[in-house]
Amino acid sequence: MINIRQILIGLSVLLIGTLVYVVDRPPGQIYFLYKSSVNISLHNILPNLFGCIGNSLPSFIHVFSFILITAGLLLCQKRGHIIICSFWFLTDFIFELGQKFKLLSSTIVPDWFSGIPFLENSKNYFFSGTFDFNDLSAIAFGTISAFWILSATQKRRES
Amino acid sequence: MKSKHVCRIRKMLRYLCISWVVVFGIISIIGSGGGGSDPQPVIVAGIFSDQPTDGDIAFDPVLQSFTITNGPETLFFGIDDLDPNLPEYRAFLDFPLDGSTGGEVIPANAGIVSATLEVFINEVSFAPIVPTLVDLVSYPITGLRVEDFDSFPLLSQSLNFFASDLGTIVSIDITPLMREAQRLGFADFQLRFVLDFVTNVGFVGIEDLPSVSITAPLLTVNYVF
Repeated sequence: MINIRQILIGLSVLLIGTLVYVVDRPPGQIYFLYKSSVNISLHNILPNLFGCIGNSLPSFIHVFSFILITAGLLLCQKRGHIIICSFWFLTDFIFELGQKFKLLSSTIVPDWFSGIPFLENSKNYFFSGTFDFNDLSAIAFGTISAFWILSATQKRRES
Repeated sequence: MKSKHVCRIRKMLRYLCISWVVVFGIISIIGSGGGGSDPQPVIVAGIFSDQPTDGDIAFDPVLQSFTITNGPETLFFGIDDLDPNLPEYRAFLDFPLDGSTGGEVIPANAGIVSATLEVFINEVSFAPIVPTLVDLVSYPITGLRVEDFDSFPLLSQSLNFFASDLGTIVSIDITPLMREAQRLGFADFQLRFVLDFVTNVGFVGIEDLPSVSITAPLLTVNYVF
């Protein structure tokens, strides 16, 4: 038993987030893109889609989408929604904060991550990424929006 | 009974899906390469060693004596086979990170992207390959002491010097050592070159002429701030 509506909303919004990276960002900045064997970047091929909103949109979309997907799979009630929202909010918040405290973050990331796909980018993520209060706001806004959507779709399911 | 099993399998599948979502969610943060903002520019700083604070210490195992040389024109490490007492030398380099010698400053909260040390080798003797340990150490800038010869290294890495390095500038990636020094909040980045304990043959000279910048030991740090 899953809430397919919540999962589909989450996946659709996640797809929009992917567009930010594929179209608006230079592929050299994105691990997923420059590690990919196929060039899927449309940067400088298509015009910029999101403008300045694209700077913090991924932060909003990430927390929003993963809250909806997780909640949709768990099919839980309000208390569960709060736990899921808190979990993803804290996860995104900690990663964003890690970009402010680069030194501390780099010591926490174990050296053996360097040989593992995806995880090998951890140090680079903290060193090269920029801490931004707009991103933090986007994470908070994404969490609140997701909670609102969860409540709305939950009510419809019950009625 | 059968429906109980089906229920259990469904539950397991659901938790598996959720675990996958959580892992994918975290990986997608890391893989997207930095959230919403543009990456910070990497700043490059070049710092020459503080020649008067560089030095070497020789331990004579026969006489059981230490000879400390501060600011020599060549820093030696390894075992000098020409000397019948076979003294062991250890070389020390000091790089001020706070600009105290007029060099560039590495801010205390800078994130180290990479660090490279370049040294000009003017002697490689008694062995074609010299296994070496580079230790991160801490010693007073007022001068080397006997106890600095075998003080406990804060971090070490190994490398080999080759006979073919003679007369060339050797570039050594010392990023882990620099990150550790930065984490510890050191005002000076200090290194000790030691002949690796796996061997007892090999003698290397690092040129360290005062005011000759072309061959002076150079630390290049790429950092974000």
